[in-house]
Amino acid sequence: MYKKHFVCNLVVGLCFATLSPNSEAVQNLRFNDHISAWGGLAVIHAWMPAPQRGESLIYLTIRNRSSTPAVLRSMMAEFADSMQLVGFQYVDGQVRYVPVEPFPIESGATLILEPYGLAVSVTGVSKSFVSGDVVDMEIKFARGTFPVRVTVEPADATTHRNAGHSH
Amino acid sequence: MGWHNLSAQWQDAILILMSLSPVIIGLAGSLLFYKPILAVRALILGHPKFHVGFVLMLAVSVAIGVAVLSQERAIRSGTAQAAGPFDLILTAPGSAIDRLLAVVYLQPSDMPLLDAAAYFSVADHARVDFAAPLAFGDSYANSPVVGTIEAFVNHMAQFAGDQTTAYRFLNITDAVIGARVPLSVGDNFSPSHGMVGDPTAVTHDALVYTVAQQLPMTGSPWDRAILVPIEGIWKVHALPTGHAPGIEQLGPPFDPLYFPGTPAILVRANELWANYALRSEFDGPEVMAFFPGAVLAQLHALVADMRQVLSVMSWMTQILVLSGILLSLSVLVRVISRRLGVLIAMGASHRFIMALVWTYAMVIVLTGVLIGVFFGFGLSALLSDQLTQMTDIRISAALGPAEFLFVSAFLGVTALLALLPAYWSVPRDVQKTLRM
Repeated sequence: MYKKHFVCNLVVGLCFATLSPNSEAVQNLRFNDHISAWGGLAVIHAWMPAPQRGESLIYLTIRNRSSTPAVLRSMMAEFADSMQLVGFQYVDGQVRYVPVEPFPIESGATLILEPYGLAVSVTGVSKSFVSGDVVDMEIKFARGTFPVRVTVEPADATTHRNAGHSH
Repeated sequence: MGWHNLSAQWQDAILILMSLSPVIIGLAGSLLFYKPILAVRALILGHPKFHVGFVLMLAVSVAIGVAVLSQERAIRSGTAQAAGPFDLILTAPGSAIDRLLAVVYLQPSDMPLLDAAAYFSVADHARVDFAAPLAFGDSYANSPVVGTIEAFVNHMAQFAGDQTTAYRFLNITDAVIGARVPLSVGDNFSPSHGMVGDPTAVTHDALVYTVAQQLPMTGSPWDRAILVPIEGIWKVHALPTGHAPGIEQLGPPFDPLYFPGTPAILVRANELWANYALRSEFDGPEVMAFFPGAVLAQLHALVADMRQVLSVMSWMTQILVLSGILLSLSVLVRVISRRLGVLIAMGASHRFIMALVWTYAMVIVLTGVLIGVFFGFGLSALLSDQLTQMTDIRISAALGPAEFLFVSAFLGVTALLALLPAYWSVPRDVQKTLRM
């Protein structure tokens, strides 16, 4: 267990060590199952409950350590027909997810997409996934496109398997 | 087009129609081809008290099922609506449920204060429309007295549907009362230091409020609240008033040097997305930022299992009552078997006898179910009224797809099960039956 975390932290540490927080010119993407980091932006611990009826929600953390705001534009993946940023709402005792317009993540800010908050809605998933699968998606920011690895968790999961350790 | 592409309304309508199909097909076939209605009438009028008992028994069981289902939904909807005006709440870290109960439902609670740094970091944020401090702890009779700013009062008024009236705190002693506060505009009162129901509460005699305006009904515990300028609350507790000495201003901007702290802040963002960004930004070790709707949804999800248990119990009640009724009908059919034998001797077909007994059973069940739905709605409305009185949360019962699906599924199952006594009722040996 500790060994696994040590290796994970080592990889992520190396990742950040190669990136200058204030540099926009870093071209070498660092990318593994836990984190995608590029140009001062990091997408951490992306996960989703196993899709049911072709739908699910993806949760992740976006940390902007660059000197300029990062504008989240869109998301895409081969395994889904459409992806969209949505926000949780509870109206008249019914859960709803409403589309949220692209918005800037300020310099130094961290945006957390988590259950009962913001999420990436995924629809039209034709393939079936089980807990433990890892799927690829892309997040498009104004400054470029990020490849992100998404870990599939059980359909009723409310948190990801790496909850409790940080990067 | 797949099932999952259909809207919820279409899915419900199709399920209800499918559930009712045995009843519709059975009744149409029986009435069109065998016309047993006069014979059914004769059977029912032959034992009127017996049939009234059946109908009432069914009606009560259906009424309980309908009331339980609709009431559960009404409570969920009412509690969610009451949280409607509270987009994002900031408090000191702790139990989100405790904070939710204290801020949204005005339940007495000791809450640590958020300091000036926390307040100004959100109040001065570019994405914040207004950040209303909320100060609890005083009361008058059964009404909590809450210190706040004008923007919050107008926000509550707009939520209640009043888009035109401007609610103002012109003096530090002005009070705006909720719709259910037993005071009138122009009345004077002094608040007590303590929560509602606190026997040790001491009256703040030095402060006499005058009711200046009254808010429309919001359907939440805030209808019992009295809203006053937060400066008055701070002043009467010997705290700085949020402004430099000598400045008589009410409301923001406050002076950070004289801001004594607040138990909670309601944050209204100027964009939908900003609510989520603000929550991410402010939720941390010093401040807890939460969406009341999200906490409530998690609470409701936790009690979803209880809802399932209630639903299963309701179904079991229906099945027990239905089994009892169908068994009793089977016995009754034995009692009237001689009359059925006479019908066969007169030339009636076995199919006619089956149609007659099945239609007879369905007439009893349909009557009981219709009365039960009516009783259930009445029972639910009565319970809603009682709960509204007890909690100040507007609970409105209404029959929805869940109840109609429950009733239609019950009727569908009954239509199929009623084939059994109908089949058993056909006399196999007419001569022997006539001799009985």
